[in-house]
Amino acid sequence: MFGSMFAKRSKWLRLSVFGMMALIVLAGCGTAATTAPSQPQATSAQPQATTAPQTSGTPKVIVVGSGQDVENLDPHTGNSYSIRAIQRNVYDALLRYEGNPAKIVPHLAESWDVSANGLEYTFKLVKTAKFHDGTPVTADAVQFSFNRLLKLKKGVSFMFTDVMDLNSVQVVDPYTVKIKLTQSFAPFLSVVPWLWVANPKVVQANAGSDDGQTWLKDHEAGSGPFVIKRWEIGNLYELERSKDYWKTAGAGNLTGAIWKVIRETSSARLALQKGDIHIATDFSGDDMDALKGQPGVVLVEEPEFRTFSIKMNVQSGPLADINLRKAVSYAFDYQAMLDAEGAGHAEFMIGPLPNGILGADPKLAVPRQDLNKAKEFLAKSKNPTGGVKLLYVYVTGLEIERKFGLILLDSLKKLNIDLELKQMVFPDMIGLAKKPETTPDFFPVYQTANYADPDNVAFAAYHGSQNGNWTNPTYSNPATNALIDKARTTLGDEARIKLYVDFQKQIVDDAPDIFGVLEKRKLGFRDSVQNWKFVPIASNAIEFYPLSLK
Amino acid sequence: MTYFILRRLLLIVPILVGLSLLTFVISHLVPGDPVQLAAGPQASRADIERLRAEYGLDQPLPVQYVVYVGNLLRGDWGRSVLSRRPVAEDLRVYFPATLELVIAAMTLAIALGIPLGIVSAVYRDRWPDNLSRIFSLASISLPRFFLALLLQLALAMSLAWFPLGGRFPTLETPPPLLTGFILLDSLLAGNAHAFALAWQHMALPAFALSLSPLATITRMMRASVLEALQQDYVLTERALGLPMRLILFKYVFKNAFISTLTIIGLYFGFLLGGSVLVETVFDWPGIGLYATKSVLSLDFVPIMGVTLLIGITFVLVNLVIDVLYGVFDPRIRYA
Repeated sequence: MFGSMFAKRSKWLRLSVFGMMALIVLAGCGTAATTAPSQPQATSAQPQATTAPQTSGTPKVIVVGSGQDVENLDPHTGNSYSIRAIQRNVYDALLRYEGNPAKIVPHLAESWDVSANGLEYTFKLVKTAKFHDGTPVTADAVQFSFNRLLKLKKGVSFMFTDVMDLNSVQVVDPYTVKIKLTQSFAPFLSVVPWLWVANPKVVQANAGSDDGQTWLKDHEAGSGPFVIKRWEIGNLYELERSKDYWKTAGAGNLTGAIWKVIRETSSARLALQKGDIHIATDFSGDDMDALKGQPGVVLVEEPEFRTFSIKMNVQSGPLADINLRKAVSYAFDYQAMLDAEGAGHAEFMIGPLPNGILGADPKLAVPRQDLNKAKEFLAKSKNPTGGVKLLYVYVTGLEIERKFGLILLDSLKKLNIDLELKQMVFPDMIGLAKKPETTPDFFPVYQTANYADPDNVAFAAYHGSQNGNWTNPTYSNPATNALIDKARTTLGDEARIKLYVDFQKQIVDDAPDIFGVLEKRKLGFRDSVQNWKFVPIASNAIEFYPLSLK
Repeated sequence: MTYFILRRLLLIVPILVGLSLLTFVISHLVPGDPVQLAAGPQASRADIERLRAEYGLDQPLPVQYVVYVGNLLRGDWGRSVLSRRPVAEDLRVYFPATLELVIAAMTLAIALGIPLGIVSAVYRDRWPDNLSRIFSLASISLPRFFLALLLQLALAMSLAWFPLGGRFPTLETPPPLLTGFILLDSLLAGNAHAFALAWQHMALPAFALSLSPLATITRMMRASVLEALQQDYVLTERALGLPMRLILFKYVFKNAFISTLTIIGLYFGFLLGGSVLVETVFDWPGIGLYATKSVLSLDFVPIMGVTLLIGITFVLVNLVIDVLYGVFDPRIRYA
C-alpha cells in the first residue's frame, strides 16, 4: 500500500539501498597502508648465514609476530619467552648461548675460572661495555643485578636462590667479579645467561618505593644492542639499534625491530604470507602444513628441549598402584600420539629427559604399546580386571591435549578402564595439583627447559621437594631425590651422565609418567631474513643482533 | 529531568556494589591458584606464600573485599597478579580501543540499520524488504569470528583493500595518544594521513562487529515502523494530504524508534564485553582480549576492573538511552 506512494522515488530508493551496501565495503576502503616490509620471494630451505652488511642507508626494521605480550620488561622480575626476547636485546648477560647443541660463550664476561670444588666462579669483564647512558659496565653493576634478583625473588630467581645469597657476589676489582656459591651447583654456568646486568645508576634513580619494579616494567637500564623506541602494551614493542653498542663483531644490518602481538596464529600466518611480518614464533603443525611451499616463506622445525608427558597421581587413587601405572604405560598408543602431532612435527620422548640433553640415554628401555605386557601388569594390580574410572584433566582450549586424552581413553578401553576427560583453565589445574587427594589421575604437562642442563627438567619434574607444584604434583622417591641432588652438585660431565643414566632408569622403574612427545620448535620466516641460527634454548625469544634483512 | 539523572546516577552505587561483590566472590571461590602460576614452576612454598601475602590474598575474603573497595575509592584499581601491572594503567590503554571500535560499529549499525528497517517496512514483502531480510538473517546467523575471518581473507588478504589487523600500521608512528581514541587523536594532531590510516584499520573490524546489531536494528525498526503505519494518526495525516516523507520521518519514526533505542542501548553494552572474537581475528588490542586472558588465568584484579568498567559504561549508556526516550516521545515523563 505504502510502497505505491514511493513509486516515483523507487529508482532513488534502489540506488540508496545499493549505495548503503556499497558504503559498508567502501567505507575506509582504499589501498591498505603499504607497510609490507618485504615482498614475497622464492622459497628457500633455511635462512642462510651470509656476511652481515653493516647498518647504513634505508631503515631495516624486522617485525616479529608473536602470540604473547611483553607485560613486564624488568630484568629481574619478568620471565616469559616474549619478555626474554626483549630483555636479551636491550640487556646483556655475562655469558650467552650459541650454536646447536647450545654452548656457553663469553659475552660481558670475556673469561671465567671455576674453583676446583665448584664453589667459586671468577668472571673477568670486558672493559669496553657501556650502558646506554654511557656508564661503564663494571663488577658493581653485576653485583647489584645479582643482589636485586635475589632480593626480589621473582622472575628467574629460582635458578639462583638455592645456591646463592646476598653475600655471594664479591667485587674483586672494577672488572672482576667473584661468585661464591653456598653449595656446589654443576649447571651454574648454564643459568648465568639469564641474569641480565642492569645499570645501578638508572635503577636507583627510578627506584620509587619498589626498587624500580614499576619503572622497569616498561623502561630499560641495559647495555644491550637495542634501546626501546615505542612501547604499546598489548600491541607492539619497537626497539632501535643502540648507536654506540660496545660490540661490533657479528652485527647484522637491522636498524630496528618490532615485537608485534598477533594472538591468532591464522592471522600470523596471513601476515607472514603477505610480508607484514618477517618472523612468526607460535605456529602449530597445522600452520606449518598450510604454509608449506608458500612463496617467500621459510619454515624451520627443530627439536628443542620441550617435553610433553602425562603425569599420574602416584600417591592417591587407583594409580598409586605401580602395577596399574605400568599397565597404563604399556597400553598407551604412543604412535597415535605422534600422529596427532602431525607428520614430522614431533618425536617420541625417549625417557624423562629431553632427547639430546646431557645424560639423555637413548638406550633406555621405555614402555611402548604392548597389550600383552599391559594385561600382565593389570593382572598383578589391585584391579586385575580393570573396571575403574579415572580422570584426565586438560587445559581449556588446548586441542592437542584433548586429542591426547582421547587417545588415552581409547587405549584404556582395552584394559576395561573408563576415562573421564575434563577441561579446566590452567590456574584451576594448578589448584588441583596442590594436594595428592585433589590431583587428577592423569595430569598432562608441557615443560620447556629454561637452561640447557638436565637438572632443570629432573629437579622440576621429579624431585620430591616440588610436590604440590604443577610440574610434579605427587611423585617422590628418596632414591630419585638423592640422584638428582648428587647430579646437580657433582662436577664433570662424565660423572653427571652416569648419575642421570641411573636417574632415568629409576624413573622408568617407578613409572610416574606416560612419556609423550617432544614437540619441535616451529618458526616461520620471510626469506629476506638472514643470519638466523637455531639455538635449542629459547629459540623463539629471537636475538636481533646478528640478523639482517635483504 | 535533572532530578531523574541525579537519581539514576546515585542508583549506580548499589548496582556497582552488587556487581563488585558478585564478581569478587565468584572469581575468588573458584579452586584455581593464579599466585602459584605467577610465582613460577620452581617457586618454593615460602615464595608462593610471600607473593600471596604481597597481594593480600592470605587475608579472609571479606577483608580482601573491604581492602579492594577501599583502594578503589582512592582510585587504585589494584595490580594484576600475573603481570604485576596496575590495572588502571591497562584499562586506560585497552578500554578506549574497544570503546572506539564499538562506537564505530554501533554508528555503522544505526546509520544503516534504521534506513534499511524503514525501507523494508515501506516496501514490505517486495524486493527491498526481501533483500534486507536475507542480509539481516545472514548477518545474525553467521558466527562473528567466522565472518571476521572471511572478511579478512577476502578483503584484506586477497584483494588487499584493507590491512590484515591492528589499529595502525606497524611501521608507522601513530599520533600522540591523548584520549586513546586513535581517530580522535589523529584529528587532534591535525594529521589527516594518520586519520585515514586509522580508519582503514578500523573499517573491517567495525563492520564485522556491526553486523549483528545492524541486523537486529533493521528487523526491529521494520516491525516498529510497520506497526506505526497501521495507526489511525497515520491514516489521518494521509487523509490531510501530508507528504509521505513528512509522515514517515516526523511522526512514524519518532514513535517507532523507541523500541529500537532500547536495543541499541543493550547492544552497546553487549559489544563492549563481547568483542573479543573480532578483536582476536583483527589483533585489535582491546579490553575483550584483556578480559579473556585474565579470566583464563584467573587473574582476579583485572577481571574485577574490566567488569566494573563495563558495568559503569553500560549503566551510563542506558541512562543516556532513558533520557533519549523522553526526547523522542514527550509523553514519557521523568518521575
